[in-house]
Amino acid sequence: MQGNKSEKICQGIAASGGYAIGRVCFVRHEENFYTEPVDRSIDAAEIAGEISNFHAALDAARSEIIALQEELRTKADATDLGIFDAQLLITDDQMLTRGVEDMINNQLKPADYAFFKVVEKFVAAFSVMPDSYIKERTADIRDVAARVLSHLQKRGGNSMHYDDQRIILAHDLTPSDTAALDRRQVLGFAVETGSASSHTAILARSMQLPAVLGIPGDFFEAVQDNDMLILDGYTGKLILNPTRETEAEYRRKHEAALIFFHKLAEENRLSAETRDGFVLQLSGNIEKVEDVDTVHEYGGCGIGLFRSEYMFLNASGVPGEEEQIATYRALLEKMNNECVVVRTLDIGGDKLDQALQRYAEPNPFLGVRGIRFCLQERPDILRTQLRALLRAGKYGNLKVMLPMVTCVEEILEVRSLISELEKELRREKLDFAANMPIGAMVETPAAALLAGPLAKVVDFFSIGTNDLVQYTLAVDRTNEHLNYLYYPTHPAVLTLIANCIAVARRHNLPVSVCGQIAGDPRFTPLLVGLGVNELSMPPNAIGPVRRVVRNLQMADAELAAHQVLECETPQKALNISMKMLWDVAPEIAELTAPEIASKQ
Amino acid sequence: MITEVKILNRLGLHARPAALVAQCAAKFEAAISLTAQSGEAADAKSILSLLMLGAPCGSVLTLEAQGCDEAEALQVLSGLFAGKFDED
Repeated sequence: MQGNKSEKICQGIAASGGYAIGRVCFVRHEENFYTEPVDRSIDAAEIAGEISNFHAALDAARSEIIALQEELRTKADATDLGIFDAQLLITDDQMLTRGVEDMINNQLKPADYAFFKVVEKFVAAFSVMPDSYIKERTADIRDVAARVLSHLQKRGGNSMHYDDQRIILAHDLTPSDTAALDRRQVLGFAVETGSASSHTAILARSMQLPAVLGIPGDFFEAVQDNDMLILDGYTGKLILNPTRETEAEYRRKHEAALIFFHKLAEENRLSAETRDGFVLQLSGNIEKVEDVDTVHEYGGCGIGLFRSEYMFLNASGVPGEEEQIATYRALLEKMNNECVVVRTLDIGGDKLDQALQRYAEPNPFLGVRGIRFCLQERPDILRTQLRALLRAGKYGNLKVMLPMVTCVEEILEVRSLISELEKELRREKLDFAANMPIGAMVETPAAALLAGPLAKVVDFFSIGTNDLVQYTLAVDRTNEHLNYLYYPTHPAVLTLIANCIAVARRHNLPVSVCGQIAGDPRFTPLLVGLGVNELSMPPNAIGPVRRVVRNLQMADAELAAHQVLECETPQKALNISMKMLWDVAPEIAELTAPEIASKQ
Repeated sequence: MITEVKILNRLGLHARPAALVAQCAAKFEAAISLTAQSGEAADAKSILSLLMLGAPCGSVLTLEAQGCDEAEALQVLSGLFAGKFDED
């Protein structure tokens, strides 16, 4: 079977480390279900079965639409729900069902084919209508049809459940698709869209699933279900139909990586201290209280970023004050007295939430996101969250971080809200933590350039590099066509980071990096040399970064950082950091990609 | 029973009004049809059939109902058309 297919290699973007070796499972989106089924004939004996399959598929689609409608009822504008009424009516439509039944009965066609043909007849009729509004409604019909077809074809045995573990290939996986992947069935995944800093990639890393994004479309055409595939999540390489030798080589690498990480785990209790005695704090980026265990497992000190929005996205509705206190308290108690940085609700950009957002924005990344959303749109949410944080503060070492800060006023506004809430809590005779440290997330060029004035009103900085790169370079980080421009080591970005760190040091403020580069060992020598106090990353990235830190000499790292700031191109800057990585930890350098853009 | 209805809403008989008409028509026992001036007829209980008419704003349709509750059906349905399907 492997003999007649040749090995094919493709380079994507390394999004989440690890090797996956196994067979391919293609996940098709609903719109992809809408393709013409095979034209075949059935026996007269099969008619009744096909008709009942057809009705079962209609029923299943109908329940799905009703569930979707229910879910949206609380989130969307009621007039928009009419569209789903129309979709429901289509599943009930006499003309449609009669047409399909006729075709099954009289032309002996299977249900999926008959259904497709009847739907296409309607679609064709609508498409030529002069009224463009009605013409556009064909999308509704196709949407319903795709739902029904997906059920019809699942019935045909095209189920996604396999006996063995698979590598998932898809044109696109949304963050919620990714979250829904069953870890036991999935070895890793590769998708056409996305970039290393997209939400899908972040989720993959937190799920510890090897992942490669930004796969060229022509590669997909060559892949079929059940093909053998090697996915290298460290370097972003995919190898289709590997030769026996290649597969053996990767099985060895996989084995070696497992052993390496096993050994690395022995260092989990050691402190992240350079050879000349500078101690860095390596902390975890997490979104759920139970993730604390993984941070502890990898020997992280503290939580550098608790993404509070997951409380809002998962729960039914906006969590109340007591509910939030319970979460923060559990988090703080689990962390003993270690520092926990909670980021206030960060909604917007690619983290869309229909429940909270009132309107669609043409430019969400430049829109009402982060602290803007809280201050402008929903001060009630911010109020509740800050009250909960103030009250939970007494259970541990809590700091509050504000996302998407672009001006001093935003900090002042939050500060005055906090003093107002403190008075309120005092009046209500409720306990709270006074003088709670407030920090700014530096993820816009504005914040980085304004570090001086900001330093006077905040207690710490945390540099969010994913957005800082995107905003500085004007590169949408979710646009795979721009991956070649997304350089964390771009001189413009590094200048901003260096400025922020220098200002923080002058004001004696702690500064951490919590973006993706904090957990990428390729950038560790550089960041250490620039003088950050803390690197906050997905828990499973802590091990390799700690190893690098422990093998570094601060003096060398500082020298390298100095050279890096002189570089006029991103690649030169990365090369300097990489060279140092090869010098101090070649075993880790091997598990990273040598270039930034295409493999970042 | 027969009556005439005119499409008054700006967007014509698109998905949402068609859904309203089909939902409403389905509540009646009577067989109900809508016929365009071109002679093309639609089953008022079938949304797809209604959409096939593609009736734009300003068009006049013949609404016909046959059955025990035909009078009520005509009254309720022509009410929907006259009320612009709660649009505009």
